[in-house]
Amino acid sequence: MLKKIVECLPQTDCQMCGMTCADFAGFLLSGDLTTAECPVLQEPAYAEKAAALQELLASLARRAKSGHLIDVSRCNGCGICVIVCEYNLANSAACRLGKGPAADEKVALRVVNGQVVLADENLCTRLLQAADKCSKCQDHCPTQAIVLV
Amino acid sequence: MGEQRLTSQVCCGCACLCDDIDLVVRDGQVVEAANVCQWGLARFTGDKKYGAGLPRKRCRGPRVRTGATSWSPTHLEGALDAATEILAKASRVVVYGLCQLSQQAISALLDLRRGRPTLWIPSEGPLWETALHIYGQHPVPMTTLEEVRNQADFVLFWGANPLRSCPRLPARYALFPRGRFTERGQEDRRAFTVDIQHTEMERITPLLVVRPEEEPELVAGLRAAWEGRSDPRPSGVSPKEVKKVLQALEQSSYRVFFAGRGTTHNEAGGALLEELCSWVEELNRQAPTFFMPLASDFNTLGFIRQFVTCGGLSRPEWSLEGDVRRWEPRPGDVLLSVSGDCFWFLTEQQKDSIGRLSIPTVAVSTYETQTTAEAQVVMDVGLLGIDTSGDAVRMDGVGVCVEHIRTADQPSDVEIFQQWLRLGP
Repeated sequence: MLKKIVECLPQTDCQMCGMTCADFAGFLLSGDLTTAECPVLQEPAYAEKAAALQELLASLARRAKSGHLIDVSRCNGCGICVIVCEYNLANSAACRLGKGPAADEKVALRVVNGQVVLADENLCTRLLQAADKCSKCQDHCPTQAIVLV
Repeated sequence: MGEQRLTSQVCCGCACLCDDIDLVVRDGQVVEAANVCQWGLARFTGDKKYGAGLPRKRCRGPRVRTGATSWSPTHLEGALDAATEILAKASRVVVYGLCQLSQQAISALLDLRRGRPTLWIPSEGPLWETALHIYGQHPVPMTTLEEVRNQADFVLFWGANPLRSCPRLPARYALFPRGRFTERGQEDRRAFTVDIQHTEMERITPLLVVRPEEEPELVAGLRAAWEGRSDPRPSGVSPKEVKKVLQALEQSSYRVFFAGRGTTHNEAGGALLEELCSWVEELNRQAPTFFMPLASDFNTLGFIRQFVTCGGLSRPEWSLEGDVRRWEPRPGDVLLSVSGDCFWFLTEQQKDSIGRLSIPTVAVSTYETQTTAEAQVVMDVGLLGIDTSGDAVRMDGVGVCVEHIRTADQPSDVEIFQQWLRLGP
């Protein structure tokens, strides 16, 4: 995601914002800075990039507390994320065996209507422990439908 | 009708026949399906398989053609009479589709054609025709998907992209679940994919990309290296990758080779599968090694099994053709398309021949297709697992009972063929 943001920046490393474009991208991702703080991006020559960046950041706003950004158009419902999810593995016997969890089971991820959904983001290891503790759903997603940001 | 919550339903979206589907059905329509992949969802909701959300148009009642563009609606008996009349004049009936029928319907259809010249073309034919031929040459064993989950520590997908054909196969059985002897799931397995192109599989397994014409050579090279006859240097693939495959194979104690439709997409397909099965046979002498053709239509193996059981391969009046494109229409042929869109797969030349020779078409179909548009007689049929119940056979040969989820107006496939059987030839 950081790479995508950098691609939408002027990449001149002019330091007018006080840092390099890569560092600025990091602050944009965390939400500590906004695009308005990049003077170069306001120039008409960069209007296209600015629009793309706005769109990208708007999609980021839709991410869950756990950092999950799910692109449902890419998901084919293979259920790999549900099976490799650390919380699901520890708490659902069905998931350990590769099956989908029952409706009343408490799980972090499940597949509904052919697409993965965060059943309860508060159960995600990234929230329960730390964001860097787990990224298995993203790492194993064959269609890159799940991005953790 | 209200709302119904159904658990552990069987999905007929592909040959995995997943049995853990939870459904919410409101007024006969599936409004929510849990644990179902995109393919399965399309089946439950009646949408197009590759166009999520695009509804398919259902056939509304039986009909008989009265002119080039005109139809006359009829009842099932009327349609069956018209179809019987057409079939009675046929010197050979070409039956296409078959892989999405219930076991009972397949059985009734085989009875209907017993003793009569018939060319059978299963919709999932090319791979299975080759596999059938190979099973006659090599004692290639199959295993169940549960055993794959419990024991397989080496999995090879050749010419297969299960994420497209059977999306839940890697998660449910082949790669990720934890089983009796694969307690750490994916960590206890080594998996590889061989394909002629880059696919999503490369994100979950190492992918060896090979040119189509070099596939048989790659198997032969792998085999030679495995036997210590040569250095692992098959063409097209780096020796490092080959070494990794061989190393994993050596360390494994339960191996499964999944062969997909891709293996039959080139002229060397037969030779490739032959070589692959011969190697599997040899490997099986050292440790359990299995060969599993990866079917996508949910009852492909059911048809093949039923066909072989009733002596289909030895009946002089019957023949089995794997690829519908190899069918050469001839005068006196009648096309009977059951649960498949035959015209979608025909070449322009074949379509021309059908028109020129005035080959009539009888279609038994749930949805409006190119074939129903061309047919002289159309019979609408309920969808197995949605409108009707019946048995099906999973890709590993395990029989599964599929229950309906709503009461439908359409007859089931078995009702149609049994009634047809009662009418006689």
